[in-house]
Amino acid sequence: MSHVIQLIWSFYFLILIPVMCGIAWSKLQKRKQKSLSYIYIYGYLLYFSVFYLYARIMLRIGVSFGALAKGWFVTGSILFLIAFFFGFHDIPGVIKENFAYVKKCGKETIIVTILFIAISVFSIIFVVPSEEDATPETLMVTMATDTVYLHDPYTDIVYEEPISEQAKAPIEMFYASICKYTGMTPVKFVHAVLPVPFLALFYFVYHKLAERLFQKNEKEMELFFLFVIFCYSGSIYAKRMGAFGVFQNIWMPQALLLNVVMPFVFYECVNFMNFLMTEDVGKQKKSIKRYILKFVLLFLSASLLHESGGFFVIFLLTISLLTVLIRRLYKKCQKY
Amino acid sequence: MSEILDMFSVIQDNFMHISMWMFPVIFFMAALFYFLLRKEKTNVNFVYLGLGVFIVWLLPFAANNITTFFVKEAFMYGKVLFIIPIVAFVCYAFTEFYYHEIKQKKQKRVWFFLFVVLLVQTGYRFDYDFSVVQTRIDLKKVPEEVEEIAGVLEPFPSKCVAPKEVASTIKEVGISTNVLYGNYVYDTTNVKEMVKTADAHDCNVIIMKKEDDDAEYLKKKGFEHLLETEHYQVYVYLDK
Repeated sequence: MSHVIQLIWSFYFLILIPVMCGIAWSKLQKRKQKSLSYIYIYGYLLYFSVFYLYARIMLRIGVSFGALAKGWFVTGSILFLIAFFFGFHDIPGVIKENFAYVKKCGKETIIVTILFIAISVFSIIFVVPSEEDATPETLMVTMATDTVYLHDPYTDIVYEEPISEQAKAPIEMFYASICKYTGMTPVKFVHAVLPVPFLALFYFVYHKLAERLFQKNEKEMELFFLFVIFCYSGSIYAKRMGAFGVFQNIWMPQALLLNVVMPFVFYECVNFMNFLMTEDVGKQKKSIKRYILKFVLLFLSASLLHESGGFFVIFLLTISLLTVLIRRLYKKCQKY
Repeated sequence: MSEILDMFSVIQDNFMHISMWMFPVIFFMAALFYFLLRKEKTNVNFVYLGLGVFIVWLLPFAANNITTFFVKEAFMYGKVLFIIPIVAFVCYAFTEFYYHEIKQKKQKRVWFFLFVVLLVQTGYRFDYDFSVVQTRIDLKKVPEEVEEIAGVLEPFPSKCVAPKEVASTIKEVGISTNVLYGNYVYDTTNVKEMVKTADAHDCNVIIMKKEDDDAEYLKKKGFEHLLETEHYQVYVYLDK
């Protein structure tokens, strides 16, 4: 398969489907503003959630990797078609709105974005992934043996544990299914292709956080994002950066969960807390339904990345509800 | 003298671990104190949620229950704290401090420098290994033998049956080489059955381990010997 066709398939699976899902999701949520960051983040969350549900069912049935990948190709394409027909009319509006946003961007945003792209490109080409990362090896052994989490990726020895223990967070199968249809080699796919959509996801998540924290004060927002880039770029020259290896191995389930998905869960929890602190919260049942749907997506996406991911989301949500309760009680006590 | 050097290497090793795991926590605590002590209160829910998670994380009751029921490995409990976006917290605090509290340019430069130096320290190694920044080409895990086989197969379209260790790495170096995936395709106990499967899937190359080699049978089936490496024999069926 030529490199152009490989890239087209990668674009279809890793950009086009999530973006279409995001457009459909924003229509479902009846949002008036459809920023690219919102569409992209929720598109990916929906995409991850559908794969998680699909993979858990297939793994429970006990299919081979080939069947899983074929099924995902069909499911992914059906998802794309549904999202396309559902959100078709919104596409021109989304393009128009986001072009207008790009035109309005100040020089601070442009400089920081260029810096981020430069560091990303540098990291993709030169930075060696962490020694702990076994993602390409897992993909290779999966494709070579046509099995799902049955062989140790390094020794090729069959695992002693039951398959259900290994397959609770099947993100590697998501990568492998796409890798098989792009026709790329696992190492190239993981090291050179996956960072592109995931670094974009990271960029959008932190911009969402910056918007929330600085209320669209562009200078402060970009200064914040510059410091964030400084923090994370440590992984370029250090051998290990704890949980902060965004520019080193963003595809690793833990890194993706702790640096991209969990910050967004935190962001949504803060939004939810702000919403619960408003006076007329009881009257806004539609908004509560929207938040429930959002947290379901976040729960499923986090579960795809780590077996404790779903617990982390519930843990954060519980603490945010407790914090709101304490704050409301404190306010009432102050009145008396 | 060597004992003193050993002692220093232990100190350095401990410092590496402390700098990796403790510095982010210390930064986070400093950011929390900054938010709680300053007069102007903005984004209170953001701060209180971080504080709430941190307090619950410190409680022995929560630690015991979380490690028992939810996070099975004890070492993962440390990572539970990282569900707070610590980087966002620290950077938010520093941006506010840098933007609103420091007025003079000289002071700004000093604080910026201090911030960057402290961040650099959160890396794993005290003495940073700059050799990490290099092209990946030196680090590929494909054995030389497999590279040799892929090089020979590269000029013509090939679909092969190969042992697992070859099948899982050959595509790293030979893009045009296709491998017949599927468990137990390479069957050392039944070469006849394996050739039959290869034939059914239009495979034109068979890579055999030397100890499993059955040259006579393969020749009888129309395969020709193409290459011999240290551990493998490569046969090709030219008519396909």
